[in-house]
Amino acid sequence: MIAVLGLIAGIVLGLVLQPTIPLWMQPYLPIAVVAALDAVFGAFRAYLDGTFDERVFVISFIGNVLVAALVVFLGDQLGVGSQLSTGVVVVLSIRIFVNAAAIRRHLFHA
Amino acid sequence: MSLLRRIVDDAVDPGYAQATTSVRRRGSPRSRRGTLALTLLLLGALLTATVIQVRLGASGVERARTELLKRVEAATAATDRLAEGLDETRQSVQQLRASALDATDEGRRVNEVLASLGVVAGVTEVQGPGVTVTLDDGPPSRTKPGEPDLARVLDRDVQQAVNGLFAAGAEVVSVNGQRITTLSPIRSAGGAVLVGYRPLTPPYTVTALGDPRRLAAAFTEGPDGRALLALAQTYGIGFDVQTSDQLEVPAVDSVTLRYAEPERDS
Repeated sequence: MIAVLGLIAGIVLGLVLQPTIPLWMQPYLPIAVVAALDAVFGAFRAYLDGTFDERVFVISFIGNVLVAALVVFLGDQLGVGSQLSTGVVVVLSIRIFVNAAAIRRHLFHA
Repeated sequence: MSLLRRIVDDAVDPGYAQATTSVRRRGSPRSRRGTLALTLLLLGALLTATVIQVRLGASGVERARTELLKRVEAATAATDRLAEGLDETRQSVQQLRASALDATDEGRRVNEVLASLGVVAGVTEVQGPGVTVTLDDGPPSRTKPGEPDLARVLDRDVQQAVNGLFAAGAEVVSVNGQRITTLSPIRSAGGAVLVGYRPLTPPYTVTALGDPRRLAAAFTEGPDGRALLALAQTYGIGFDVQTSDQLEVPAVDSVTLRYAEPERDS
């Protein structure tokens, strides 16, 4: 419950404040969001499995976001930024799909 | 394939399994729920910020463009104002100089030389009878995007009109109010025709002072006039020659004094 409230508060905060993201950060933001979504789907599946742990979630969330952005940043410096971000998106989206399928099985038993 | 299987098998962070097997759980339930809410708050903010940013991206480019256009217009207006002020100042300087030189015989001779040189150098305003040649873009000829528009007036068409008028005996020439001197470039940059580094918009009116009838006849029958007529007939470029008894040609915007220096043996 408090988690959902936090999410709604975050969305409202983003809409109200409309923070301007510094230009150098903009290429990494979408990747960071995909990484964050991956962490959230993993956490929801763990919650349904009954193995959810807040500490693991928070650390995996922040770690995921930072590592994804860092990988793309490194790729940019090496001149393979777009290829690496494609790779990151592919890996993360496979995980999101697998977790979403598991969540679906849990919820609908199908 | 093992790489893909790893991704699929480890879709859930293995940390969750480890955390449940280890009995230790740090922090009170309340503080743990607090961090959870805080993390999700971060997620929500990140999500909305990204969506807003991506949506703004396209309109941001548009806004930057209009902002730049506004600045260009403001700068052009400021240049026009300054040029006007310069014109007035230059006229008063010329009047003062003329009246000062009029005091002596020597000065009067210098005055006459200055007057005739001023016309050639473009530092004095000139008015009198002459000819106006108007060049204008024709209706767009392009049928496919990316094809060059052949009915556009190019810098070399304006050059041809100016050169043809000088060859036909014009004493002074201006293009859209820009005086042409020996130092005026006529060129193009990004599709716009630049005369004396000022971008002009069509129609291009070339004003030439001289005997109107002889000038018009010599120009239209000369090679440049005929070439422009051929362009008009082939590509639909607007081309018109008119004589007039009263035309005005302004002075140049800026005059730079140049000095020749003797080469020194080192």
